[in-house]
Amino acid sequence: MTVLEVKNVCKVYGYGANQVNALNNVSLSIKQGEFAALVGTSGSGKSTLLNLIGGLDTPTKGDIIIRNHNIAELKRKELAVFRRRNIGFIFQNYSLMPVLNVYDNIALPVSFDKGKYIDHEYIESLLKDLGIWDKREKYPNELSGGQQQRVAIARAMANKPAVILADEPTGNLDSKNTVEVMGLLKNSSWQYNQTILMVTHNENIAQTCDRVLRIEDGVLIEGGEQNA
Amino acid sequence: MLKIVKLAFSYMCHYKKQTLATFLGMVMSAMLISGIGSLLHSGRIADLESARRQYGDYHYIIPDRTGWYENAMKVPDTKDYTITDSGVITVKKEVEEPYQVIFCSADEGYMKSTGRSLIKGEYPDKSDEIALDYYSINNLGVSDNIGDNIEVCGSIYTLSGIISDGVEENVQVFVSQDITLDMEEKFIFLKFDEKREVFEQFSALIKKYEIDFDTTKRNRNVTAYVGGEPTESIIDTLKVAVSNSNAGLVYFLGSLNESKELMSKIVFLVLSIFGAFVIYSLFEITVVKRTEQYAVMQVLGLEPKHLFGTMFVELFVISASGYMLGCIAGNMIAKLIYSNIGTIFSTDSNITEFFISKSIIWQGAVFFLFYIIIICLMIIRKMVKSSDMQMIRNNITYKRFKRGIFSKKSHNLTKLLTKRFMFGKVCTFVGIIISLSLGGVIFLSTTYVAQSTEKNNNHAFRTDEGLGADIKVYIDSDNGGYSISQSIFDNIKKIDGVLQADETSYLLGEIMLENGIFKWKEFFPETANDGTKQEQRIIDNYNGVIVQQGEDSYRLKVNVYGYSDDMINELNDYLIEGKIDSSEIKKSNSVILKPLTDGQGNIGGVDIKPGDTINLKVPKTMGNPELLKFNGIDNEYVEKEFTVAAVCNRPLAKNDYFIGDNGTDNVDIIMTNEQMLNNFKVEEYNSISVRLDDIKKSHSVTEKIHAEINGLSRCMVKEYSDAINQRNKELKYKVCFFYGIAFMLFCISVLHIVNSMKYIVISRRHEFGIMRAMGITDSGFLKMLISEGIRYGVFTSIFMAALYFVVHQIAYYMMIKVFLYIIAEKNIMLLPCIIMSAVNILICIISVIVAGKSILKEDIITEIMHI
Repeated sequence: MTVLEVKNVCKVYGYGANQVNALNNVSLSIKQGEFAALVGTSGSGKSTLLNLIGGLDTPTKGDIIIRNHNIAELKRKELAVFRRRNIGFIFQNYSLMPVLNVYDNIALPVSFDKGKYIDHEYIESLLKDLGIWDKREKYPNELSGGQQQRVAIARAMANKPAVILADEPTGNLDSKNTVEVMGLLKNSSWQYNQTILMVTHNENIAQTCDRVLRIEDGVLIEGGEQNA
Repeated sequence: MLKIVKLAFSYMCHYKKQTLATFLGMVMSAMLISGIGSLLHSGRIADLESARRQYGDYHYIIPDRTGWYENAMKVPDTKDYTITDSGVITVKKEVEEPYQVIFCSADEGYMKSTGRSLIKGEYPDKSDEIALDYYSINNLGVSDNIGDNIEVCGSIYTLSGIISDGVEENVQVFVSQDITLDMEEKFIFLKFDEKREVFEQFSALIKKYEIDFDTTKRNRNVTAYVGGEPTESIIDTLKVAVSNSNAGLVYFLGSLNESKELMSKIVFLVLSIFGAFVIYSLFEITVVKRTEQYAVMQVLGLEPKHLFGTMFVELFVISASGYMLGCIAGNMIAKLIYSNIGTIFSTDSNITEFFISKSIIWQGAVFFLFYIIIICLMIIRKMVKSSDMQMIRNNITYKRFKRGIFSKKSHNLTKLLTKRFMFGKVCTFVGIIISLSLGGVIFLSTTYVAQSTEKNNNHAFRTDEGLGADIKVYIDSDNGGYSISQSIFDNIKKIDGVLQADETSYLLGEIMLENGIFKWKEFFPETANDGTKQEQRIIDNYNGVIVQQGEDSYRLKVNVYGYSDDMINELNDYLIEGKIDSSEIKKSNSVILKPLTDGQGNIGGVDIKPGDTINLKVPKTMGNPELLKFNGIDNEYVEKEFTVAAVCNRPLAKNDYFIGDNGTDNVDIIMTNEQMLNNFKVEEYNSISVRLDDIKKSHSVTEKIHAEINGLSRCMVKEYSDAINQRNKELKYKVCFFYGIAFMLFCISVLHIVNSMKYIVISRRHEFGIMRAMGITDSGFLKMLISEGIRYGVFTSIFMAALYFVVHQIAYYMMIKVFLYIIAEKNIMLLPCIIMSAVNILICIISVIVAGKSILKEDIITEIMHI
């Protein structure tokens, strides 16, 4: 089942002589439970594409369909709610709330939905699977980079989103932690049938994923529509 | 160095909004400090000039019994003193009946020193010529035509000239210098060089000529401004304040206020502290925004001293330009205010010239210069303590929060998040709360002082300044035989234009103070045992104010007043304890007690409270001077016991004769006129206070009153309408000014709160970006911010209320004990406090909404990038 579909997406920044075509007619689709890597050189447009899919930016042209919702057509509030329920983010610098402990950081996005039940059993299983259950009452500044990124992964998964968007999740980690985090991501994808789209510039890391999408100068040159 | 300056200017240009905010903060602070400083300074100079005009330009009056004056004037300029002006008045004769009349001759120096001049005619040259002032002409009821023959004290004189009125409230008859009458007592009016220490010069002179200090008089209204009062160093003052249990803080503050500059010093201090807070918080926000850049520069090789240089140059340029502009603008506005409503800063009604207070400007400049150095050092110290990477990441270290999983107890994690952001850095939180509440505290305190000042002035107006009536008719004598009859009073009441007339009867009385009731032995010279002496006149005529009877038993002279019912009820405004109701007082034949009040506003000198009884003894007739000594046999006096119904802190109508009454130094027993009649058979009055239906009728009513009292010995009439009018106007302006200042402080406070709240929100834009990415809606985000705004507002209000409570107590203490207010509101003003709290909360909410909306305008990616 296709979870994410990107159709002919273009993104243009600036006007006239300063106009930059960040993305040019990009189309791709990702199935449920697939772990895809988006690779490209710096400035190739991979982060732009990730931001568009995440609803953090709007495409100049084209459609982005997640779970049958075209996010380009959603209103501001609808988009926020949609993002909360369907998209999980993992950032390179972890971006945890420094004043919340591990457990509460993970529960935070769920709490945005008033009245929505926080599935503590699910959070517990996530924490255990990610190997940070014993750290649940620790604060981010008491954790290593690898541990913080595990928390970020758990937070991204807390809402059982349609897709997790990970922007260079191993960019700040050493090789040991990189391997561990990638293993955890892969495991999560498999165990929870979680769709993950990961941006990386590291070819080796990309090769460990189910599928590699390659982007160059705003054009998807490999792994796009043909693999859908 | 040039590079540092260039860098500082680049920052100023790049961060325009913050530069402008700091600049505006400094402009407003400087405007307030210099503007108010100049207004107070101008008022002080105007007061001095007014005092010179009203009371004369001289500093001291010294009797010349030994002929020292002639010797002194041979060398008026010595290393110890410089006499710049002097004048001589020679008293040649004193007549007590039918008026107190002083025949005297004065030289030109006296006229100049006292600010008096010949208005018409010539100064008397012959033995049968006299010159008078209008006060004397009116009260003697003689012609003011030059050359007319007039009768004074049974003799006929030719009026040769008219002299402008002086301060003395007695009839002065100026006679020729050469005339010889009963006596020849010279009094020298001296003025010393005001560029030197005036009191030291005076001390040197009296020491040199062995003049008894107690025989000299100071022109206090002038000497208080020019350093002519006995002074001691701050250290000595402190020593006395600490060592003497009766002195304390009040004594210290009172000493500081000797030169009448304490208020302006306090205002300067408060405004400077407030300005300092505003500047600090504004600049800190500027610096925090670029911490990362400073860190990068450090990595690139810039040393802390270079960073200090950059910050200092930047803050110096902003502050200096802001300070200069603020001083210019502040003084321009102050000049405008002063030229229109300058009378609120001065007791002088003829204010014209505005003076810029250079000393305040310099003091302010020095203060802010040191202050910005300290700010820069503090910020640099903070930076040095952090590592470069911490600074680059702008890492904020939060306090350790308690363990435990909150989301298992509550669903509202955003609430927890905002709370922890707030309290995560306790010092920052406290700093923000203090700086936010400071404006509110100053605003509330200013409002409180304004209200109390208004209330006090209205009260002082009616009592201490004697401006409770438009016209006062009174017996100008300490001879108890004179009085105003009931028929004259009735006729005065009927005069067209008289709205109300209140009669006051008077008796000199004596009460017994036994069993430790009398607490302040040091209050009266008779009991002080410190070498001070009671006025000879008081001793001669009344056997002193207090006489010790036994070991702990005293007989105290008191003023006994009979007031009209309206006046009795009016005393409720001055009530300290008990209940005042004229009908109940009459029914129970009780009295109101006005106790002794010391220089610090305390009233515990005579321990008599409502419900206590006093034994009052009065002479059967006030006409027999011997009976006023209270040494006669018992059947010459009436003795009655009264219950004290109430204690008040001022009398309304006072009798300045007999033992005197300045409102504080004597005990007064007040009852109704009906009681005076029933208890002591007092049928006539000592004074009448007249209120007019139209102030314009003042002169015509005065003339008619003169006609009514014609022939009544020692009866004088004085108009107060103009003075009342003027004081009313001044009071109105003064209160408006106070509120104006409060409003300006409020505006600065609002600017400060808005800026701080914006900073608080914007400093977390990265975290907010993450939350938005995670799906918090705009409304959810704003709700979260609003709850934070409310919390800041509530905490600010709580702290403001607590701080205001302390400041209120201090202000109350200062007003009552140092500035000797008759009355000041003791209770906290709840309504302004509540309004200010609501305003605080509202401003905080609006500020966070505005800041939050600015964040929502930015795209999420940009927000997340702000680390």
